[in-house]
Amino acid sequence: MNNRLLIIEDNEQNMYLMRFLLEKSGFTVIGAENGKKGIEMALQCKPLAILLDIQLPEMNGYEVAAELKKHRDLDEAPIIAVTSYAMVGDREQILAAGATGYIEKPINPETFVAEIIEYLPIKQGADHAA
Amino acid sequence: MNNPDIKPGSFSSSIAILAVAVAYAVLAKASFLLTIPPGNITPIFPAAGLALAAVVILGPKALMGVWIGSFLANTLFFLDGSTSPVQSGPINVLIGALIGVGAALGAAAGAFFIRRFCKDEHPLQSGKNVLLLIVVGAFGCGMISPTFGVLSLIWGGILPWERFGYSWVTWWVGDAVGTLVVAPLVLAWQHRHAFRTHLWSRAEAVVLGSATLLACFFIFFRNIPCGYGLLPLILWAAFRFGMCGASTIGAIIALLATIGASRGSSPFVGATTNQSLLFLNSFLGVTITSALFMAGMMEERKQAAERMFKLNRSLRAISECNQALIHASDEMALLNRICRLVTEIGGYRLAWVGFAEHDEHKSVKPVAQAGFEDGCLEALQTTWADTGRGQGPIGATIRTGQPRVVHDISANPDGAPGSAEAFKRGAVSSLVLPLKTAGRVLGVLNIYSEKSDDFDPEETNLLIALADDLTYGVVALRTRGQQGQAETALRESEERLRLLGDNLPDSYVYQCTQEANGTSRFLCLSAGVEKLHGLKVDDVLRDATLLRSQIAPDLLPALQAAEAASLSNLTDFTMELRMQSADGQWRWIQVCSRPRRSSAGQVVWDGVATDITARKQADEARQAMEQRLAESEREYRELVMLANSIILRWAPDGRITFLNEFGQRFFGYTAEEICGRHIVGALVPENETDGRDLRSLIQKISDDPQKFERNINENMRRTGERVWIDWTNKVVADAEGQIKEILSIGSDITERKQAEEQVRRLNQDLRRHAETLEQRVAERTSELAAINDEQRAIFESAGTGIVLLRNRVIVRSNRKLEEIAGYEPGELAGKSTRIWYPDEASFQAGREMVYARLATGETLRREQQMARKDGTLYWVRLSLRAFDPNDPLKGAVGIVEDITDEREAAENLRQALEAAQAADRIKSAFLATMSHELRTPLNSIIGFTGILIQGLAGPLNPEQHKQMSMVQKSSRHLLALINDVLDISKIEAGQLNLARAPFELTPSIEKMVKLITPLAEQKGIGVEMDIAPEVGAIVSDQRRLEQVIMNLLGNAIKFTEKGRVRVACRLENDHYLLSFADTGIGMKPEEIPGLFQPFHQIDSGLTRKHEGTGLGLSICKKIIDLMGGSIDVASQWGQGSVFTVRLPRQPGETV
Repeated sequence: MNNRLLIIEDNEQNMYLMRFLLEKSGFTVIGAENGKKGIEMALQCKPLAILLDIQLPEMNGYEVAAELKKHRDLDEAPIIAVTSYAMVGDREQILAAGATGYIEKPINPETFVAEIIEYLPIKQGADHAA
Repeated sequence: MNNPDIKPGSFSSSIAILAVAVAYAVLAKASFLLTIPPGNITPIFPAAGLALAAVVILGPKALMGVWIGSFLANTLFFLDGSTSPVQSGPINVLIGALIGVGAALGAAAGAFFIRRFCKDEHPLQSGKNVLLLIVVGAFGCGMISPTFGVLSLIWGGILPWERFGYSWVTWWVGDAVGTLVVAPLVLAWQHRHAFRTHLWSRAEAVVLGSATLLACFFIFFRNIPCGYGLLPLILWAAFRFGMCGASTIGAIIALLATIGASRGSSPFVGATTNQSLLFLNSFLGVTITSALFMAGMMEERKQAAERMFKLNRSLRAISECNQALIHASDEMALLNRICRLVTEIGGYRLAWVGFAEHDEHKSVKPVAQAGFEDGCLEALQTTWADTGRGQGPIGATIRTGQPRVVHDISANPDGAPGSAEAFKRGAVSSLVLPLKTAGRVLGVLNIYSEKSDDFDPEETNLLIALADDLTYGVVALRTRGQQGQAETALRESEERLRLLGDNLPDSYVYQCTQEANGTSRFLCLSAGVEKLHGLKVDDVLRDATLLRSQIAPDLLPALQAAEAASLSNLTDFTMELRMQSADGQWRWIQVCSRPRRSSAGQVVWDGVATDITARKQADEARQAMEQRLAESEREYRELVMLANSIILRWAPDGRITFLNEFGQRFFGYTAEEICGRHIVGALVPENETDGRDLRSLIQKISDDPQKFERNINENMRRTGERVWIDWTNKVVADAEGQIKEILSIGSDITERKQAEEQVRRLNQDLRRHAETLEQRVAERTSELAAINDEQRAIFESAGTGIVLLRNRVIVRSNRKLEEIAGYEPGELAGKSTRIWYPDEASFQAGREMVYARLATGETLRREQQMARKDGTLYWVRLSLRAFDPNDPLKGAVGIVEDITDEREAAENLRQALEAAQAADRIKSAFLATMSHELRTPLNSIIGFTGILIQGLAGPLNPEQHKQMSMVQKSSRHLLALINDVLDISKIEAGQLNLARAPFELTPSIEKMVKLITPLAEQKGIGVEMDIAPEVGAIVSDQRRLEQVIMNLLGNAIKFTEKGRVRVACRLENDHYLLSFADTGIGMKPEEIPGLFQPFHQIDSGLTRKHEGTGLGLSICKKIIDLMGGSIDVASQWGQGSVFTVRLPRQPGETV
């Protein structure tokens, strides 16, 4: 059963935080620190879902999302944007780019995993339901 | 043992036995004359031969006769005491009996063996058999009798034991030789075939006999030692007369030799008579054995030769018959020939063929015969019915289909009538062969032979084959005959047909087909093609193009088309072809054929071709005549057509003699009415409408018609209507040249005249109008001049530049324009618009665009850069309009405004705007960045503290837990502060953009309530929700609205220690009313105004307890305001507060 989650995040601490929480809940976390690497990893590992930061170096989050959505086999994996939601329009833009949902930074460590699970395809989500 | 040669029943048995007994006794007695005493032993005992022969021929019953004979002879001999040394009677009888038994036994044994080994052959038939007879019969079994005899004699005391050998030998020799001499003799004569009793044979036999007698006489009676002479005689007898001859000669020799020997004059002399006789016997034995042997060989050879001869004969007969069959053409002739061949070559005596008729008598009709006289067979009335007369072999054969052999007719000569007749003519045996085909018996072939038993199985089979072939041949003949008849009939009909085809006068019949490649081929052609085309039938049959090439080439396409049509539709083909025959003559040939499908699926045309040249010529002549006729008709009609003109004939005195139909119709008179009347008054009025005197005109014309060859004058219809006619007048002179008649041909020109009149009138009108116009023009000109002056005044006094253009040239410009452009007065006039443009490129570009726009009829408004006289550039606003959009070049007027200053100001403004916008963007970017930057570290702080507090990174002790919680709380507070600060900044900067999307209000409220419920429960406060059912969707910023709701809810709970918080929502006037009521401490009235200011906090002892940024309500208010709503508060100190938010369901344009 696929329990791999891909996190594309350039900030080390943020990455560590999310990885810690998710791994504690039984997920396998794969990390990538930029968009390009992230796409490669996604294609390689076929994660269950992809957590995507918007503010990324080189390729920004919108481009990454669009790129990811191009690949059919990743179609099933929801893209969850994890971002410090700043401006109105960012939300629409990221959803338009193909994200299934978004989680605002700073994350709530108590509810973060549950929120992630919300976005997962139902079957896997049920297994991990807190 | 069915030896066919032995005829049982020829003698009745008792007579046979008796005969044998008597013969035996007599011979024995005779032999006893030469006995050697004592006893009856004799070296010459022919009776033994007789005994053997009798048993072989007659069978076992002869044994009785032999015994009786032997018994008698011997007993009598012994009873005759003179010769015998024995006294008593009964012994003699016994001895006689015993000897008899011995003789019988010997004969029996010999006969048994001979019968056994000869099987069905005659004992003398082959060399082998003869040897058998000699060795076994004579020498072998001949030992039995002596043994018995001598022993019995010894037992009887007649003979002493010492004499056993000698006696036995003597007895044996005697018996053997006797057998050798007599047995063959009897057997041979008994078996003799019917001799061909030629005269020469008989003579020869006599000669031989005489010679033998003579020789014997000399040898045996005169003792002349020419015993060798007997050899050729024996050979002669053996070769020429076979077994009979050999045995006869042998017997004669034996007899004479014996007699001679007994007299003592034989060449075989011994010490005693007995010895001599023994020698003699050995001589005889050798001689006769040799003779018999040779004869046997000869017999064999002869029989083989005979068989071969017979076979050969039969085969030849069959071969000839088959030849006859092959070459047969007539059934009767064939059958007769066959009969003849059978008799002549086959060597048979008679033959005839009879057909089985199916009449009431079922008679057998003789159809062919050989050897009978005419009518003889017919008279027999042979029948094959199953009645008495039909029981013969013929009837049986026809009924059963199996051949029948009668070996000896003489045995039953009346068995069949045919046989009787045949028998009369010397037939002895007969063979009836059925002629059967396909199971039906047509008839019989009867063959009669002179010899008895002439039809052995081999021969019979051959003859059966012959009969079958004959039958086959007859059937074939019949069939062929039928075929032949049919063929003859066919040939006759073919001949008839051919004659028919060939004798057709001027025609020929044909049959043709088309090959797969499209070429034609004639299948059949009658001789007429020679006469018509000069081609030989065979040549054309071989090569159809010979005929086709005679066709005129221009007809070929049509021909091919017609042929193709006929082929594909299977319709009749008819065409007339022009063809050039071999002698160069052209003919018309009509070809008529009908296609049909042959059995092979090919299309075949049967047709006839006829020479229709004569007919064609007649047709052509007729056609030519018809054409001429048609032409003359046409000419005549043309003439009549001309009578679309009026044809008038009138006499010099003015009387009308003829008016054609057209004229009649035109004027309205019939021929009767008009003829004879004077022109004037009928067709011509007295005066023309204009007044010309027509009467006198007519007179003048009749006086001198030539002068008035063409004349136009007015005429009058019957109705009085006036018409104009253009007349051509011709003189018709008589023989003397006097004017007989005037022929006038006229055409109606009334309309033309009318048109002319109209034109004249129009011209007049025109002239009048022209005068009027000139007047008007003069008036106009003066008006224009006045306008022109006005115009100029406006022109010069205008505040903007005005220019008139024509063909891209400045016609006129006002002073202002010149000033703008920096030119001296009058400088611009007449210049090309090029001088305005800064450069050629802009001039060209401008031209195209400008005039295109002008052509649309619009006013061209444009701002462009132009050049002054000194080259400096300035900006103008140009309005250009063409007078006539269809021809913009013709004239256009333009208004030119100097907008240099304007532009500068605009430019400055634009730059300022850009700067402001840039500043705005910087602000936005700053806020966005700050937002992001500030939140990022907080992510770590909140996140990790959360993890630690949850114990996910390991357990915490209570103190650590407590301290961590404090950190967490502070970091959360910090986050709230940051959020609020950013929000406020945004709002102040006007950067807060609210989203606008429809969403359901109820779930949002519920969600916020759900989130706040834990906190409420913690404080023991109840949260109630009262959402009206009509609350549905709202178009707003969901996130922000939720933020507001959350804030208000939070505040409500924060400031309530006990009781409850109530959220209500309802719809009113297209606005939602959200109310948040709490049972908290409430507020003092003076606090309310400042409630929504930033950084306002309720100053009370409880402040510290309430963590907040102080921004919340101000942000809420700002947000609600931006949403186009309003927020209000109603509060009672100590009772609680109610915050009411009013929001439009859909924001208006202004938001």
